Amino acid sequence: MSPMCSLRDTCAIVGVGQTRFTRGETYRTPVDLSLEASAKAIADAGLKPHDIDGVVCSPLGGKTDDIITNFGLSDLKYHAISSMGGASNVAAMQSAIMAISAGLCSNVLLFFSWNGYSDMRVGGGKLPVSDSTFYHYRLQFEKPYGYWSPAIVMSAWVNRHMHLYGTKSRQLGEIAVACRKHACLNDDAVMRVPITIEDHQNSRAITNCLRLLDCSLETDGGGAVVITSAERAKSLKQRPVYIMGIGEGHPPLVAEQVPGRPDFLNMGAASAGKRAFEMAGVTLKDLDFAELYDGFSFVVLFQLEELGFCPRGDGGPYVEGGRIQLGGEMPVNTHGGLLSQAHVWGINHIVEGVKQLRGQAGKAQVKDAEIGLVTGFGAVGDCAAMILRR
Amino acid sequence: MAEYEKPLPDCNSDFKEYWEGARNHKLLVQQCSSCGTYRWYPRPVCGECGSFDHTWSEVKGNGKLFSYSTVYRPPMPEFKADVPFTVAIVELEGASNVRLVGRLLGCPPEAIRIGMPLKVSFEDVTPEVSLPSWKPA
Repeated sequence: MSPMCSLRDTCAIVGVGQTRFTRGETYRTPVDLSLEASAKAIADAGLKPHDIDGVVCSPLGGKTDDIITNFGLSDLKYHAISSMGGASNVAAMQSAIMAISAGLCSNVLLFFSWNGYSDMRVGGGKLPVSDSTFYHYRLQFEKPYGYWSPAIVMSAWVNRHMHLYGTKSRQLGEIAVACRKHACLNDDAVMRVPITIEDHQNSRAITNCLRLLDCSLETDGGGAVVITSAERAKSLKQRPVYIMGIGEGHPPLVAEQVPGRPDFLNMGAASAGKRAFEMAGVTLKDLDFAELYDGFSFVVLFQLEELGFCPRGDGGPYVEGGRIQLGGEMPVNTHGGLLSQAHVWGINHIVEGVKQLRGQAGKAQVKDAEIGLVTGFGAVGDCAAMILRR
Repeated sequence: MAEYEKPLPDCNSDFKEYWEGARNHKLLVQQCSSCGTYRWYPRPVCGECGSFDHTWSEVKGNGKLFSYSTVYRPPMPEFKADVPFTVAIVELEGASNVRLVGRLLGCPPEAIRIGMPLKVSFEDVTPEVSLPSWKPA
């Protein structure tokens, strides 16, 4: 089925903003964090708050109404809430570019924030309460057995992957080490002490296959981006970063229902990637970097396989030898990712993708970056992928 | 008997029959009345044929280990005393699309093998609630 019109290059990201990423130093409400990040993104674009006429977001960080009220928007034209866990922010971008391309609105704000340290400590069992049917099934059929925190749930994936393909913990460590190396170049990052594979292997065991350094951070913070039409982007403050392609991927059984998925390792990444690349009209070979959602180290490894960087099962060898570090063949998470910069549901991956393509990534700049991939990954396995270019 | 502090299912919910079965040490799985497909988790509609009719069918309780997590850091304080414990994902014999989550009992971590045959074993955790778990067959 071919679309009536292509969304390729119709829109551009023109403003980005982030709060400081902290771990309980002060408590600020999510709305407060979202407004700060949003105000920064709008200013970065050279726009004023009143210029915003569309809002997209995830279920966290505040509501459309908070933006309308605080920025004094008298006549918002469009809103969409994207509910795909950690894939929400990238998926929300798809709504934004559709709305702009359809002429429904001109300047869309995407915002996210949470207190992942001060409030919702995922590692301590405090998951964001979901209204999904399957969350309630999990309460019945999983929680009584202790199959609850993301690390425990996802370990079932990892154990099976290790069983089928011989993937090793040390290979997961390569991903943790790469993200930390990149975070050390980033003043915004929470974790800036370099680590080695041995540090990874010595870090606390969460399950039989996952260690502390395989897990993303718990942080408080927020981020936002502003999107507008490619045409209008040319006259704004920053160099536009165009959205070439974007796509979502949802496995047959919903994200929260890991155990029953027919292809157990299907996490929607292959579908999302395929759609994004088709829309973009480029291939993996054209990418200069990849900001891959890294709720856990192995989520990066799985995505590398499913997106086609290497065959399924070869992710372990792929991440060895510095291939995914700056200077390597495919730099991954040049900002440090959720593993070492901050866990803000991947809004930071979008921001980093934009900075790289503007040439504003500082010490972590990928030389001559022209095209990059940004992904989001939801709960336990659905995915959104976006290809950006300058 | 000490108070059981770990999370319990709501046995008066939509899945009353399932939990009644478990209390009687019967393993029940939802089955479509129209096409006979077993499904898990329980849900209103059959994904194969679209029927809204189902039964709770008793199954033998044989399976094999599809995957697992051996937990060293408890997900919440109530599980602290159990650590290390293993959660099993069990592929049900006779209905390979059905994968059940339960505790793996009576198997030291070093003996766990994906593919190992298992048999359901009910844990009577309170007078009202029995939890289906799994032991090496």
